Amino acid sequence: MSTDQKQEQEFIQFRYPRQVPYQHSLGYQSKFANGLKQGRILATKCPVCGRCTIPPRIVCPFHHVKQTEWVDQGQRGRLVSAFKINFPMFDPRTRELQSWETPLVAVELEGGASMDGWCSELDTSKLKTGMLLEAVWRPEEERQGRGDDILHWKPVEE
Amino acid sequence: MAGRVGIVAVAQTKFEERKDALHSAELMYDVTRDVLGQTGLEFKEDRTGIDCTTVAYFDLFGGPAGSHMHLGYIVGAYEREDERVTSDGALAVYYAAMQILSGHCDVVLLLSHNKESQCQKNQIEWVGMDPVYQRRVGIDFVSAAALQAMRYTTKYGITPEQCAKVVVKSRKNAGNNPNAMCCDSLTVDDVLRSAMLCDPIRIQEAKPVPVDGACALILACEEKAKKITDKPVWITGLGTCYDHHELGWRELADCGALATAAQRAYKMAGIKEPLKEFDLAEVSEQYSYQELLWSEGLGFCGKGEGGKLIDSGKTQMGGELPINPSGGILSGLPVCVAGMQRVVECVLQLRGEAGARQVPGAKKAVAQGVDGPAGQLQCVITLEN
Repeated sequence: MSTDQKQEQEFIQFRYPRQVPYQHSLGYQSKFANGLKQGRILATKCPVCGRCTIPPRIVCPFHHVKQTEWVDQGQRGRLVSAFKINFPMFDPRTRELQSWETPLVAVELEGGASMDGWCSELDTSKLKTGMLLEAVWRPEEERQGRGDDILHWKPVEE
Repeated sequence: MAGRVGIVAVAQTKFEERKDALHSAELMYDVTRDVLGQTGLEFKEDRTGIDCTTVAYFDLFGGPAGSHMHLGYIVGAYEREDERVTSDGALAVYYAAMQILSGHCDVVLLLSHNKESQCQKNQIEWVGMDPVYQRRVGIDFVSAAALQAMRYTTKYGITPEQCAKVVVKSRKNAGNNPNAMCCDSLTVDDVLRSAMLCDPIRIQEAKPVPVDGACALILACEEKAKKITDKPVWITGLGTCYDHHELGWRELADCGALATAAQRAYKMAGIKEPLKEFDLAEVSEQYSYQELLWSEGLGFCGKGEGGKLIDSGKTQMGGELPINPSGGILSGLPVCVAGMQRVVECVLQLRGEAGARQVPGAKKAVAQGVDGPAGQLQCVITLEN
């Protein structure tokens, strides 16, 4: 478009700050949420392959058989991967733009399941694949059964 | 049609106002295992089982979730082909039939689920309107339907009593359907005394909200359908048609898009006189007047004669063409699931497995799905046993 055309009219955009409320039923996953409130990390286990899954799954994603067994995954795990967000992104909890100083980590738990979280070690150069991490929880009275009931994962000396 | 597509299994949940204790995954799992169990099929990569799954689902109803990606594993999506239809479930049946007719797949599992209790339907449908012009005046699907109802009833002299009769019939039929949500016995007076929702539509004349539930079916090419079941139901015709989105551009008193979709399906199926040839119809009436208007579009009567049709008793159980023996959407079905569930009900009828709502000896049926404001998108599927 030429500069002349641009000057002929103002091009308009409307902003709709859409806020549609939702409530999600956790159903069978309530066991996982109630576990978090008690400071426990519970995973579903496949009766065929023995794989433990977090988020808990009603069927094994690999074998499509119903998962009825729940396994406590312990409080510790090994670091699989870590990264820090260096530019402003949406915090999905608040919808605000922000950059996180805290690195995000993927952890393979003692029980075999994997989950993601934040890490208390801010220097990513000190985070090594395979290092031992331990869950640090919110005070019990503040827990709501959500993923952030685990405040962060803390490196453990071996 | 180039080849035949058979429906070899169907399943549905009970439809209820709230299923607060259940995750959407549990609704999906139950109907998925049901249809797999009926056929003995599993998810396979070697063309000996389910080749592909297609899920009809509106992201906005469950909370925007990236096209349902976190629930795909329930329908065997892991390392397999998995499709999404973000529209009424009847469109997913149409799409899956095309997958099979094209030779791309032999067997397709279809599923639709919705928990309307997790959101607010009118807000979602408001978002479905044109963002610049219609949303600004607050038009949603209910108010669009009211505009259509007013125009239709005024132009053709359709009476409030005739519209109310649709509700009375639906709820009575629903009494024979153990999966239906609303099967209370109503009179015409009960309906006409209920509160006005959006003039001229009264509360009892609108689809109950919210409704939670799911349904599933399996489609197969002719060769495999015959091997999988002794009672395949064949899709004989398919037709879709879009109308204008803008309500002012349409003649709301007539449903041209539905008439066109129906003619496309009927031509494929060789249907000349729908009222006589079909044994039942399952139509998508979210509001009472729509069963009358859709009856016209589907060719069961002439333009403006929907009121006379319900007065004639031909669409009652035991009549020439029972409409919605299941109780229809007015007895409580979630949007999106509704169109696919229309097909599920037709299949049960054509297999002689509809229980107390069975139309004796049913051989041919027609299902209709709808999406968009005031029936903008129409889908017609004809079936035969």
